[in-house]
Amino acid sequence: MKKSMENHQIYFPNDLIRTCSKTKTRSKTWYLIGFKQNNVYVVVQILESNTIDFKTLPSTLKELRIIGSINDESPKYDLNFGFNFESKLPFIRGDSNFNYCIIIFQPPNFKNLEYFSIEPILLQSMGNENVSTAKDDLVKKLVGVEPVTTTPISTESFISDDSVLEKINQVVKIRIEVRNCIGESPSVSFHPSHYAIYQNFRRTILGIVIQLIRSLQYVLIFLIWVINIDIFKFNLVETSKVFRSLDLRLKQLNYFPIQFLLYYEKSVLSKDDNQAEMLKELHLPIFNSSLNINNSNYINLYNSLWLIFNDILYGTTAYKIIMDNFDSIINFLHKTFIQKYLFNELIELISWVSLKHPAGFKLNNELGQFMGDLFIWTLKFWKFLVNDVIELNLTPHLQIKLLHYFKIFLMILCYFGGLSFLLGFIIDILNILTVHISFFYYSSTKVYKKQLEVIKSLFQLFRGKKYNVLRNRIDNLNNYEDSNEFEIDQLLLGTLLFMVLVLLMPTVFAFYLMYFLIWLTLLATLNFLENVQIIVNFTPLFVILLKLKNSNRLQGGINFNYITNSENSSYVRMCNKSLSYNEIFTNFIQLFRNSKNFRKSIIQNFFTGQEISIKYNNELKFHYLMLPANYDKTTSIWKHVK
Amino acid sequence: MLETSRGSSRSPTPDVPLELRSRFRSLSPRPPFPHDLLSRGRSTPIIRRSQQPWKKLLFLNQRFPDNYTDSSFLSQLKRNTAVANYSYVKLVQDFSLIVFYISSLLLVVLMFTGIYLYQWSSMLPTLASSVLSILGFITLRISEGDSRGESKTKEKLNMKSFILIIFILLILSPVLKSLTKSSSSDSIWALSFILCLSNTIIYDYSMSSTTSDVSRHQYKPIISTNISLSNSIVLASRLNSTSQVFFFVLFAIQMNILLPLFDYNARRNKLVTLHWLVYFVLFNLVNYLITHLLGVKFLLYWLVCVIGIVFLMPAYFLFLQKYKNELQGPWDIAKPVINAN
Repeated sequence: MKKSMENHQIYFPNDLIRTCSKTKTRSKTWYLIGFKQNNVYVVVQILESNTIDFKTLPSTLKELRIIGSINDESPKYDLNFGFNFESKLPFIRGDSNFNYCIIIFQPPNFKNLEYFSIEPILLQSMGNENVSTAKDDLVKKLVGVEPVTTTPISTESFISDDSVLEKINQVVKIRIEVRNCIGESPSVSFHPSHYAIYQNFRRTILGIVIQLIRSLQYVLIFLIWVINIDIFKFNLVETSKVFRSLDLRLKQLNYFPIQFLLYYEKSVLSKDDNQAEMLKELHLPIFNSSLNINNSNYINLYNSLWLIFNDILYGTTAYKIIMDNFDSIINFLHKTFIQKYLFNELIELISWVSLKHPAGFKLNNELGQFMGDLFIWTLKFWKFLVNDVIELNLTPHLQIKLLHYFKIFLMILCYFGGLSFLLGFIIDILNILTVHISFFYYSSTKVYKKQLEVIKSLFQLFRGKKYNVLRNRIDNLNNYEDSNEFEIDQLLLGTLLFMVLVLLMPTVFAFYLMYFLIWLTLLATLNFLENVQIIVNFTPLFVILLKLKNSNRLQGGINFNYITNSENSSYVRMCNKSLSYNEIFTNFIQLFRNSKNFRKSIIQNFFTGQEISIKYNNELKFHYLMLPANYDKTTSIWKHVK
Repeated sequence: MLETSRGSSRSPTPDVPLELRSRFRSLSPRPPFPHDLLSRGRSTPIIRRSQQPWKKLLFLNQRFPDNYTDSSFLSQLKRNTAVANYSYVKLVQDFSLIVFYISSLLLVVLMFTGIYLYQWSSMLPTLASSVLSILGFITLRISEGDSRGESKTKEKLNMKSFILIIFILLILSPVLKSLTKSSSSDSIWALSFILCLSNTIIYDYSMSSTTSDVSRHQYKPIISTNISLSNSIVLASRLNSTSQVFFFVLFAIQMNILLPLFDYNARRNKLVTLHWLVYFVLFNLVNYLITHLLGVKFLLYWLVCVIGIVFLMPAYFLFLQKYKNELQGPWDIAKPVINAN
């Protein structure tokens, strides 16, 4: 293989090219300092003189050296560039045996949390990264039988190597360090004694702040623990949506210090064992790789903070609107919602289905009346509990006082919790007020299901078969033969019951259908409220704004754009590929579908008599926000803060 | 010895193991088509190198291709071997069972008509039929005891089921009465007609000419039993009082389920006179009820139907026999002959 086929990659910062092209004298000599790793060169800075003492540089920059020169008449370094002022690009001078690929990039500003990354940044997770599928197992098997080949140790480096990428990302930082070391003194200087006083002062203030935050965290952890206590399998968070929101909010607040430290104070993560230990303690859903960790935490922290702020703003607005129309809202709830729709209209509906031949279907009057009476009786009892106790038994003075407390409660809810808490409260109230509907639905579903099952098994009897449990198949019956366990009387009895149940089925089904439709409407309403809550709590607002403002800070990978090529070198521009809207929103959209769901095979469940309810997956919300599972271990991070 | 339809399959080489041999057989060019087998004496394109004649033995290694058909193949063809020769009188006897069952169905429907339209007492016919059925069972037990000598436990069980049915009916008759109250009568008549029709089609008539012996035949008309009961329940739900419902359903059970069972047992026990006596009484009762309730015109229709079923249908059946063409040959599933001596 000819040597000339070897490919050299030169990473050249954009601003250095600009500096070169601005100089008046065209043949001015520049010296390039940078790194060389196998076939990869990373240019860090250009200097006018080559008399630089590399021994004065700190030990972290040991590998730094002069790798080339521009317009040098007597080249003695690896790379010998000329500068083309037409195209404003450097070119390789002389007959070189190598192919060169000059990659021009804008050096990322580390102060703005810009950097290049191959892996896209992870802002949310769905908590299912570790699920191994059957396909993975097959792949593992395939890898097992693959013949083992020893790959020769590569003498080439690529952008995908962490060391190369790290040097590109640190270009600006290294420049500052180099400038500080060689002659040009740092712009900010402290008098030693002043500096010591400042340090002491800062340390004490920090200590106080840390202690304060730490004690606040203990309070938060205690609160979370309190609302999660199980009392006879009764759990505040499990039953009430307000407490569910409170739980989420407290856990978010509890995790904020860690998120802040993870992007602000890098010393927390300086040691790998620290990171591993903390990961294990907190039990985080997933963790970004070291490069992305600062940025993702920064984005998540400010996204959460902003959403909470928004939430409270919406809440106060909603509270103002409620207060302005308080009387009409209470009136609506009392007269229209509870008395009209949940009581009077329901009674009419039930009597229509039970007695008045609904939609022309002739149902069994006796059974219909019996079931209708049962439901109406329960309904009256519910009305007595919900409506009459407050309306009739309390004095007007007490009622006014109750309303006053209710207002104060709403204010606390809106001002300290926000709109999501108000929505949670509305969901709770709806659940309490419509408890009779869920009771009716569950009971009619049970009746329907049992009747359907009995009819199914009796139908087998009717056609002279039976279900054999031991063999899981349908066998023939033989009631007329001697020495058989089934007699004719059993057959006749089965047929008798079968006919009765079949002829009564339409009546039961009519009730079941009615409650099913009401229940479905209720579920859709609750689902809608939950959706609004998710929009308020989880929209990636900050991420969208960041994409509009500086898309370099949303690392979704890198792009190479071809510019031009000359005889032995090609020019490529490297830039950041920011996360697409699709990538930003996929997890958010999934949250709507997966965190709660009632739409799974509704039709099938309806006909087989399975109960339909909203299935919650509350873990998903914590995964989405990347909150730790062990919320009580968050204080341990202070051990690592110096 | 086993006879197979593909007697011509052989292994290509003698040393091939058994699994391979079977694989080769499945790889044979094509299975022998029926027309190949039927075209007698067609010369096959393969030249017979061997002097040995083809033998229909699977285990022999013969030099013939897999799809080879010998000219002697159809020599074992047989026609109409298992076809019975029917006598017209026997067929008339068998077809009369259809009339018997339809009569029992008609009796129930006519009794319902009487109760529903003319307010007949439902108690008297039920009491009469109950007494008759108990008497009938006692006679059957006696005759069975003479012929077989069965134990007494069976009788107790029967009495238990009888009482059980009566009590369940008593309990359920108020429910049955209101079961179809809100639906219109026409749909109930239509439903009842459909049930009766399907009942006559599905019923197991247990004719002796289709099977060689009545006593070996298994009598299990489960579906038609259930349909009869459903029919009586559907009809009874139109009646006005609870007692009417109870008596009518009991009557229907006795007439539609117990009477055919009784008749079957009588025939099985060779009580021919009893069978014909019951037949005569039932048939004439139905005739009388039709005349009384519906008029002579309907009686005429009914008798024409009866003559058609009892006399014309067997004649037509015999006429159809000459078209019977049943082939049997070596391609049929082989029947192993065990203890052939």
